[in-house]
Amino acid sequence: MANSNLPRRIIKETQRLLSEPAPGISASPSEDNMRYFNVMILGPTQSPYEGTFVQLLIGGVFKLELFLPEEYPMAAPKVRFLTKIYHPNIDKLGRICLDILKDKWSPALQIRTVLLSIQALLSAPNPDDPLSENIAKHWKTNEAEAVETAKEWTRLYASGA
Amino acid sequence: MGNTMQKSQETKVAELGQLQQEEDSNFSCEICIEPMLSIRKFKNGSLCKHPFCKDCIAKYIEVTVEETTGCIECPGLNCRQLLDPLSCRHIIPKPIFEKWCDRLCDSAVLGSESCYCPHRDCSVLVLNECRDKLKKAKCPNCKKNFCFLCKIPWHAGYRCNESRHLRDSNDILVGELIEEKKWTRCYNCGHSVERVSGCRDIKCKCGVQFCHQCGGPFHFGSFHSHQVKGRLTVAPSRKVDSGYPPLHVSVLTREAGAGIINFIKDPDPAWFTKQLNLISFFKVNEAFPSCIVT
Repeated sequence: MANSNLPRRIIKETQRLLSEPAPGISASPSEDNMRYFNVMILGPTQSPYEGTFVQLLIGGVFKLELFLPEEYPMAAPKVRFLTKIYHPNIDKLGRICLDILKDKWSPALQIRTVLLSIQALLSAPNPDDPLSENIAKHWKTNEAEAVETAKEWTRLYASGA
Repeated sequence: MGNTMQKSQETKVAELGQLQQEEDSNFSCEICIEPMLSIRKFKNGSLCKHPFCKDCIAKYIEVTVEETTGCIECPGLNCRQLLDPLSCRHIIPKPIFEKWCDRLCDSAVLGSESCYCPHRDCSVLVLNECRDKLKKAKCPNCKKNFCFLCKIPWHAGYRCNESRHLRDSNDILVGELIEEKKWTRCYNCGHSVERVSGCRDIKCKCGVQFCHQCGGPFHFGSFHSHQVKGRLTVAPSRKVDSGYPPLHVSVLTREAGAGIINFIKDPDPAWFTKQLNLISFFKVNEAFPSCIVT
């Protein structure tokens, strides 16, 4: 059973994520597997990933999956975008190039801090350390156009549906 | 499977109550997020004071020691301090600590130029501590000369690029004579020249000009950096009275099939600590006599 012997740290983190969610972020564990989280991140304002206002905020909702491996918190969680996104540090499979998910992981980081870092990555794309070569190239040669494409993709795919 | 969720929520509620009882203890470990009594707090020497409990740090070291070169960073966010091996020694199992020492030692040796003494009855690990290019070197253990560059016994009178040629015993004797008489062989024709007096600029009978000091083409006024004397340190023959604990180099020497040996008979501690930033490492080994082989 995946949920038996769930470490206390995971239980506590889950409780806190549910009771005090970080702004623009929701994360809830799957019923079948408490190590598997369904995550939604709102595209930050002033970024190409924010939703559009038509009386209400529409779109700009990115779905992710987050999995806590057996070794967590000694090993980093595995996070992936499920929603298509046009971002130089995220590839077409949704994999994220973020140092804290790799070699800069520290057990003092938590699910919350990881998700906040991903949200920050949406505000500050870094085409100098790309995961998608083509998107990074686009970003460096014609940033305005790349931002337009990112907005277009946000409209098309990040509806939250 | 739906029940699982319910069950875990019940456990959660029960645990929450338990947690609130514990809330008045002294600190909260940033890894297990548990409230802890200060007696359980890990202290990283005087380096940093991030709140982690001893159990979590021990687990962290156990996982991390496999992946590092021996320098384990404090898991505190944005903390660049390294964990002090001495402060951790009593909280981690002995095999983990020994592995950590091995890693530190590997990285220490890999950082400097090293070579095994080519004399078969010696074969100790020799380190070049002067960071200059070194050729002729005297093994501090067997006191025999060898070439640090070619890693073979010293090729007296011959250059490195000639040293691999097959030579009979007469060639070797001539080579030794050349060296003893301080003759220099022309880089072009190989002819030996004795300098009785005058400058180092030798016009050879083959037509080229060469430097009598190095045997290479003549160079006006430039330094003979190759004349800098090297400092070598060596692995075996532990001198307990030298005042420096021997280091533990099991991994490297296992490769060479020599078992555990000690190296650095008489290191310059200032150089060594500055170079490798391993002050605590010396202490570690000092406190760990099982590493030492006589």
